[in-house]
Amino acid sequence: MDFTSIEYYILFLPISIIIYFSLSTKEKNYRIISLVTLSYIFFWFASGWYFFLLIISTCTDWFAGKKIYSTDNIKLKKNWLKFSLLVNLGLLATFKYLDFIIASLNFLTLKLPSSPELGTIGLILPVGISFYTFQTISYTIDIYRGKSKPYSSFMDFACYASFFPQLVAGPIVRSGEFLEQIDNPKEFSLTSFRLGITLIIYGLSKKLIVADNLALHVNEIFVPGTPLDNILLVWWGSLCFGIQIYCDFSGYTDIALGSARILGIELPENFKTPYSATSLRDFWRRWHISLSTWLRDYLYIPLGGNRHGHNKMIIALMTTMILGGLWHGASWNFMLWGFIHGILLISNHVISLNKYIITSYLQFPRTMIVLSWLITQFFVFFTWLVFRIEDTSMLIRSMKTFIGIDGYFDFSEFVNTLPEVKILTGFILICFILLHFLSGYIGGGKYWLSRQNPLIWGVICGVSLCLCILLRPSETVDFIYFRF
Amino acid sequence: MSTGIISPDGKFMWTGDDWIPSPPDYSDPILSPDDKFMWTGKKWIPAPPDKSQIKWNRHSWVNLEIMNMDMVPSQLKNARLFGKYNKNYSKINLNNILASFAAVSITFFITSIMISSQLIQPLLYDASLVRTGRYALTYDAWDTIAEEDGFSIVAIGSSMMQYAVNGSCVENQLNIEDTFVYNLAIPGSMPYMEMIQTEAAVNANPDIILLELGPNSLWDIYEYDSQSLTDYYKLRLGIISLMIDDEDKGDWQNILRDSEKSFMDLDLLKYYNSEGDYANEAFEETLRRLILDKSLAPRETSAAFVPNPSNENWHDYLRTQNWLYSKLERMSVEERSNWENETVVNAVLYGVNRPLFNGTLNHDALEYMVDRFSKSGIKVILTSPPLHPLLLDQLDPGQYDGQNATLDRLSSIDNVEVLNFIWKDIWKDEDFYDHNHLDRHGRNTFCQLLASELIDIIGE
Repeated sequence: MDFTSIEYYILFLPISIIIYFSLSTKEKNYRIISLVTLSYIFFWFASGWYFFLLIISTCTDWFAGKKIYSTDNIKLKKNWLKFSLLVNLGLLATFKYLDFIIASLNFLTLKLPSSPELGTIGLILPVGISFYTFQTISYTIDIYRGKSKPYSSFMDFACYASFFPQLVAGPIVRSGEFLEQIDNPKEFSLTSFRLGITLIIYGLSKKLIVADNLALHVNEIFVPGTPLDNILLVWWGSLCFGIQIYCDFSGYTDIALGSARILGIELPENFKTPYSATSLRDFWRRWHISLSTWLRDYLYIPLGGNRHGHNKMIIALMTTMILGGLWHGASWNFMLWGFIHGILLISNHVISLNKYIITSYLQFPRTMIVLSWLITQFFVFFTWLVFRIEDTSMLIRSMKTFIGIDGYFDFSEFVNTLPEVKILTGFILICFILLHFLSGYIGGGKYWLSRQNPLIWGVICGVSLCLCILLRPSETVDFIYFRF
Repeated sequence: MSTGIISPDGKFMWTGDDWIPSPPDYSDPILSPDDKFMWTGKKWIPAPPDKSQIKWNRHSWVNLEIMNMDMVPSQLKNARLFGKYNKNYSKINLNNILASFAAVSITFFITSIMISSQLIQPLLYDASLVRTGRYALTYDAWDTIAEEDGFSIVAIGSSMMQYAVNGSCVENQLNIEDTFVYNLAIPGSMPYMEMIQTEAAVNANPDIILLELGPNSLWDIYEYDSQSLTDYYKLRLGIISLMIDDEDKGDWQNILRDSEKSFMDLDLLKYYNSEGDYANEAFEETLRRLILDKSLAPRETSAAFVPNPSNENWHDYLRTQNWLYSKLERMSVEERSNWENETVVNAVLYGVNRPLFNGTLNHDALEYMVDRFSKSGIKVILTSPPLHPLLLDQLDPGQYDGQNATLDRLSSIDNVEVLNFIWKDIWKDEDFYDHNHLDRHGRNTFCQLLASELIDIIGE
């Protein structure tokens, strides 16, 4: 069961809402217990027996948080923090990175004489592990830093760690934000209910109409072994994938926000019109915000941030971006993706200090905005190639083609390579781009929609819902971020 | 130069729209006494000529939030704040919610019906989305027949019946006023699929149904299960799901296997599956026509093309369709002989040419149809279209006994007659398109034979 399965909408979510709100706000603890139970049921359907890992992570950080808070001994605090990090990162390392580490070791050592080959374990990546471990780690670190107190109730913390709308793919919520909301439970609200439904329909539309249809094109273009010398084809593939991954992930996030909102809990936004970004720094303020702020607060700043001069800032930034890339998956191309983003961010930093650039911005703001938007998006979509293509030779080939090296323009070949349903996909793509910017202009399409009168709301939601059902491809396309 | 507005605790700064965390290093720049140099924190760099631009050098334009907003060009400010969410929403009451969901439901159903009836169905008819438009015609054809006041004779069955009956020709031969002969046979069909139109046929109440019962109607569905047959069932039943009304459902659903039932969207949860199967391609074709002025639809004279029920040619088409032109006619005598000896003779070996006596789903379907039509007062004529004489020469003794026995058994039911054209001694090589389909010559001969038989039956 996931957010695109019919069971979620006709069974799980309605039952959750009924159970949760059938308990009054005075019975806060029962509400929390019901949420935890429902979340574990949801996780069971999504992940099976791997829900034990969630229990381990939850118990570890609950215990470590208590211990850190209860002692004044700095060394002891540090040891408990290390224990929490060891368990959480150990789970991540085992279930997500062990095979990658073994494969990398084999790659290096097999070139040595009489070196034995290590067998990979073949563990299946547990759904959501990257998200809930980061969330519980932030809880322990915040207590260690004295920024927050531990939860007074284990069930409250278990609810924070397992809250089903954001459990498998975020957004990564900070413990303080969440505690405040479950400490002050809300009654069922029609306003929140309609807003929640709006967000769900908005998210489903992004996922089923845009992302899943674009996925068919992307899968057709980036087939291993396919020559990628046609510049139009590589640009198109990259554009489609960039929009696919945005609609896939932000669609999921909107559904998560909507489901939580119906239950009276407001989760943080994860995206703010990222393809309108006019610099790489701007892009990272708009893309996967909960992860980028997590990396900033728990990695970049502890590594020194920008407080110790340029060199240390560069090291901190590159480390953060490479680890951020690796967070997405145990693969060299994710590391490379993070590395390139790091380089681009540093370049962005250097260029933005140039006085000629600054003067140009002041004198020709409109032109410079358009120019910087084009350059930023060119590089953003360039990096999506690295994210999408795992095969090294194919990746190098396509990257060269993307920037015009050894590539050619052939429109008819490009058209013939695309899947049968191509005009509709192009149409969806154009509509998405227009709506993306319109949404930014009106302060978020989903919130604009939620403010409309019943007729406009009903017509837009009804048409969207119908198109979701009819235009979703027959082949199921999983959420991309479920893999992370 | 004015400075930004900082909150009393110094942690937040007002951007003009929102409170944001104030920068830790927010301070006035340190300038050299002559204002020509500025301290970056590590070294002295040349200061910009205009003091009002000093902060640009220190923080760059992308850090607009730590700038004094008065000096930032509005375009830059807007670019930075672009996409900022406006989360104001008005309070919703119960009436508002009820009206909202009523509007969603109505819009949803209207949109769905519009897409199905205005977008998908016309493209199914003109064969833009499927191999032949005939897969779509069944229920609309029965609706048309129901609206006719005259004497109606309807042929149903497979492509053998499709290629045998020319309705207009039979009407001319019958020469009886207000008599219409329709051909609703569908390529690749078998009784197991044909039974799905039983209730629609009963509701249309034709006077005579020519129900195909050839040797290829009595094979075992289980024995010949294959991917291509599964695809065929899926195709037929998916299209039927788009066209079927509640009143067309009936006991035939009990004969369908679960595997075939799964292809029909008879419950609410699966209601939109079939529409979804064709929606993407239908949108694609519509956009292709609108934008590129091109189409995947075959020409109107093509055998695959079926006019839309709203088209003025619809009624004529139901009686006289476009048939494939016989490729054999373009062959030399020798080529034709070689082809026939190779293909027609081998056809005897096909499993479907070895009809079983009873117990198959095709038998169940036939019995159900005959019983239902008969009890509804509709005369049923079990019709066996002719086969190529070369094929008949190759038959094993008793190979078609299963068919004969089935014809005998079903003809004992009230209101049921048999017209078996297989053993008529008049069929020649040039009457056939292949081993079991008539060409235009054969169709003409069949027309005269059928008409003369019908005159006798109607006369009775």
